[in-house]
Amino acid sequence: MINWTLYKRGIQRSWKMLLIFAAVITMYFTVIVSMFDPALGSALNEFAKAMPELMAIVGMNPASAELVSFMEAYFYGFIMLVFPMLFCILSANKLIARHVDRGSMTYLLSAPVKRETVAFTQMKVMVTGLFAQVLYATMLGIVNCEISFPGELDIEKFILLNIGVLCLQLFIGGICFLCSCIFNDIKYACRCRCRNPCDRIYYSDDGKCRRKTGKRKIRYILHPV
Amino acid sequence: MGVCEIQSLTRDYGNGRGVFNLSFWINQGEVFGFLGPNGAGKTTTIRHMMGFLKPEKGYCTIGVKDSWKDRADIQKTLGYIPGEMVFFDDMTGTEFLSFMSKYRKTKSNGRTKELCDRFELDPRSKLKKMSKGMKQKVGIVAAFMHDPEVLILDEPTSGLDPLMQNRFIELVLEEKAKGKTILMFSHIFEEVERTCDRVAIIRNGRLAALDAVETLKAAQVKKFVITLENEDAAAAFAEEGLRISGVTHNQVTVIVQNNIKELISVMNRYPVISIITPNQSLEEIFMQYYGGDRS
Repeated sequence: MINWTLYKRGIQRSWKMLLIFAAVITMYFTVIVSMFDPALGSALNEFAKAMPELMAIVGMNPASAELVSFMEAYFYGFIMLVFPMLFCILSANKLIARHVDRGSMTYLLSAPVKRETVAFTQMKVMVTGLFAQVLYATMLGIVNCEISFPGELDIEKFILLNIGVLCLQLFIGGICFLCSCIFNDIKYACRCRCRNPCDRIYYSDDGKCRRKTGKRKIRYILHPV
Repeated sequence: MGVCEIQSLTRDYGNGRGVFNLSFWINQGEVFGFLGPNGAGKTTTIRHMMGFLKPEKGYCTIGVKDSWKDRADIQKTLGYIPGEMVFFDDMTGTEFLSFMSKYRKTKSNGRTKELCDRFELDPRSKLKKMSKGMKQKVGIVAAFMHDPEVLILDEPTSGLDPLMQNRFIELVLEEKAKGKTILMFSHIFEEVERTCDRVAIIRNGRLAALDAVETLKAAQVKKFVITLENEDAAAAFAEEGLRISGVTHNQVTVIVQNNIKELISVMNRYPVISIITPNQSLEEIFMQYYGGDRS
């Protein structure tokens, strides 16, 4: 259920994006880990007690002064949620919906490769990307903490935390990929993922703001029209 | 029993668009032309044959396999030129061709170079930067390089210059000589006329005619625009008893059906300067074939 040629191409295409994300994650990890200080942790706790809303906005809900909970609060509340999710949205789009939207799916299907194989291969590209990100973050975290604060990090707990993140991201990725497969147009695929009330409002030709009514036809991407 | 068979294929897109109750078959080693004006349902038919679309009613088979259910199987020995060339833009032509052959898992790749040479194609530039004609050539090479048994060609010569069009027709004739089955979809009668054994004409999603190309040609009425030295000669020429559809100044438009010799003998006696045969549109041919009945 995998076509290695297509898989390799998918990886080649996501390589740059992964590299950028890795760079951002590296920067955050290194800077923030170096700021860890049990005393500072309690100071931030004080800060959070004073202004809980402000801290919640940036996803920083401090727990205890342990290094794992410090990491959890400062990376896994925001950075490690947003970046893999961005990767999911972008790559799910690129892997299926874009091919259908542009028409290059014709070439992928005019070969002795099953639809299932095409879909599963593309899905594996996305999953590989997610794995790579979380694995990288895990290793980076461990190495960073061991260098700066040897013995402080509860490695077992930290790995468990990363597995949790991976599961969550796989779930999000699944939704993204499903949307990418179901809708035959990028704008619908994106819209479904990024649903918010404004989506249903659009501007018609006469410049008036209208609410979208009527049923939208959903066609299955794998039976393109 | 043919290599390809289409049986009461129906897909209704509403507003009279789509294909309706289409049935025909194609024999082994035959070049089959499929003519139709834009929006007649050519591409829809191809999509069914390629297994991209599931028929609402009826079925398509290629080599006894069902186009929809056994698509991946059929594609092993199928070559396809899409009507619109959309590639993966970031690749160069060479990368694309090698990607396709690896993706298809074809063993031999011997034809690629020969085909590129034949069409004078240098596939090393980026696909995004290629002109329409070059893209078309890449598409042709991609369709023929794995030496398929059945070829489905959707307007294969669009974007090619006349020289390349001729080379393409030579290629099709060579493949035909090798016993390949070829389906050519087009809206240009001349293209189909030179290669095909049988021709189907589709109109508004329905099969309007299916006949040997000779029969269609015999029924075809040819128009000649003959320019003479002066207006008097033209007037006299028009009186010669040929079917004349119009006289303007020194030009006479003659309609000929199976009596070309008569025209030649008449022309011998007049000071003819030039003869032009205007290209006939598909609609004209169609109307002649049906005696102008368009219902």
